[in-house]
This record gives sequence, C-alpha cells and structure tokens, in this order.
Amino acid sequence: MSEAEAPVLDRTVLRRVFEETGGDPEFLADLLAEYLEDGARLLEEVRTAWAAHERERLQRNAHTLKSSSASLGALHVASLSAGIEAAAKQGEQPAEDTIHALAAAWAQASSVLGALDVESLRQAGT
Amino acid sequence: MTEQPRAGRTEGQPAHVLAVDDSSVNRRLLERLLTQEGYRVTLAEDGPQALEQLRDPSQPVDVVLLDIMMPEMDGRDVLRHVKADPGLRHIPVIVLSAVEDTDTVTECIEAGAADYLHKPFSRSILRARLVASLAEKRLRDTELEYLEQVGRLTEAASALEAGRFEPDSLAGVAARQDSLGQLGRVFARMATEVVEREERLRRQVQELRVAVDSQQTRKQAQEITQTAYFQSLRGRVAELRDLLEPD
Repeated sequence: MSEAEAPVLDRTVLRRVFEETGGDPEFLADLLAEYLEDGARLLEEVRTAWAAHERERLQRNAHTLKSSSASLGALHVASLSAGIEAAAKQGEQPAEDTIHALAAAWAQASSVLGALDVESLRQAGT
Repeated sequence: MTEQPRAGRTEGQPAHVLAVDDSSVNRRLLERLLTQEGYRVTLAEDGPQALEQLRDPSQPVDVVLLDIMMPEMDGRDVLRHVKADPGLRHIPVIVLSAVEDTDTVTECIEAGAADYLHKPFSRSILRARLVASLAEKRLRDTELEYLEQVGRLTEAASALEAGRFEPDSLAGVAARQDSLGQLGRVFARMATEVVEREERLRRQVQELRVAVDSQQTRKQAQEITQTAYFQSLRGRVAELRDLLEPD
C-alpha cells in the first residue's frame, strides 16, 4: 500500500480498540487525549531530530509515533512515520517533503480524532 | 461483545505481567486489556526500568510483554539480560513487534523469547499467548520444584551416611501428596530410626566404658595398697603419729 492510500483514520481499528477495552467511552476519550498530546510531542521531536540530522533520535521518535498511530488506526501518520523510521535506520536523511507530509497528516488526524463522536463507534459498519 | 472468561487468575492469585513499551498510548492500552483479563499489571517505559522491576524480589513477575524497539536499551538487550540472569531466565518473555520486523522477531526467539505478538495487538491473541506462556512456566516451575526435592532426598541420604542427618530437612518433601512424598516420608521415618538406634548404641557403649573404667580404678587402688612398699609407708606413718602425739 502506498503512503498516499493510507486513510487518515481507519475506524475499524479504532472500533476494535473501543470494543476490546470494554466499550467504555471515557477510557477511549482518555486514550485519544493521550495520543493527541504525546503525538504532538513526538512530531516535534521528529522535526527537531530531522533538522539536527540526529538519525538515531529521528528513528526512535518516528518509531514511537508509528507504533501509537497504528494502534489507534491513524494509518496515514503511521505509514509516513514508518517511512521516516526506515530511512533513518539506513542512515539516510529523509526528504523535507516527507517531514512536511507527516506534519500535514498529523494535523488531519488530530482534527478528525479531536472531533470524533466516540458513541458513533458503537454502530455496526463504518 | 461477549464477555470472555478471565485468564489471569490461577489458584486465586492473579498472575503478574510486566508490560514494557515506550509508547504511552500502547502502555495504557496494554494495562487496560490485561487488567480486564484479570492480570496484575506493572508498566515500564524502557529497558532499564523493566530490568529494575524484574529484579525487585518483592514483586516477582510471571510473564513479560516486551516491545522490541525502545530508546536507551532496546528489547533485544533486555531479553539478553533476562536470559543471562539465573534468577530471571525462567520468566517467559513475549516480544511485541511491528509486522515488518520479522528479522528482529527471529533474532529474539533465537535469544530465548517464548513467543511474539504483532502490533497492534488484539485482545484474543494477547490472551491466548499469555495463557500458553504461563501454562508452560507453571509446568517448568513444577518440574524444577520436583527436581529440587529429589535433590533434598539425595542430600539427606549422604547426610545420613556422614552421621549428620536432620529430620527437618525432609519436611517439604514429606508433605507432598505424590509418590515422591511417599518416598520422602518412608525415608525420613527409616532415617530417624537409624539415627535413634545409633544414639542408643552410643549411650550403651558410653555406659559400659564408664563401668569398665571404675572397675579398673578399684583394681589399681587395690594393687597399690597391697604392695610391701605401701605397707611399710603405712607403718612409718603410724610411728610418726605416735612420736608427734604421745599419749
């Protein structure tokens, strides 16, 4: 799957998290708030590490952002972070465009998640 | 969603899971999933924290869920530390990885990981992996305990031969309900009898020796008092007494 094809939010993933954690809207809201706060920090770390050419730090933070994003279905952020992580792991400096694309994907994901009606995840289908 | 049976409880005690992940979102998710399953959960966000938890003897860990890619010390290093430590190496470690990290998973299994789990994890797979690893650990713990108690019996046998058998040393073995317990009880009873018989014999020998000793002393005294020298000494003592104390 190419990066452009990954959805901003895969509701199937998020619904499964919601159901498997007991269908508790309060817990999911807390988890999403944690993601939005931690993700913003990780994105900042990615940008700083990229600008400073600190590959190891870049790889680590891109990895954590990828991991959290994949867990909640923020697949576009996850796939762009995975690309940055892989490049940094091979000692390459990712293109500036990729960093911009990640920031844009993050902005989209956080706006969708911020406006998400958790109760809507209860319904069957997407 | 149907309510699944809780897997974390065994013999009334919830199993203790250490979940190690650098992502705070994943830590919260794991904590929630594991608590729902009835496990007792401790979280660590990096390798050094995980090792500190593992080495805390007051909170023994039954199984570890370990993220591979972490800052400071990655999961592979934590795994190597665990497997190199005789006090920790029996604890099953399930590694958590992204689907694309197949090489790393292989490396971890070669290094002693019990199992692996791809992220994002699902509750049912997480449950299945934990149940399997814990069952294996319990089996291994039982085996180790059995071997340890067989060792106790062997030690007791050498102690008996060396004359320093302690009946209390077999209390644990004798309390078992299986055939090893039966063997332990029979051995302990026989060994105690042997020790008691030896003690009785030792006392009898001691008493005989005392009797022989006192007889010998009497005989020696008799021999001395019957010599001519002793008799003449006794005569001189009487003469001296008469000289000193004339009537």
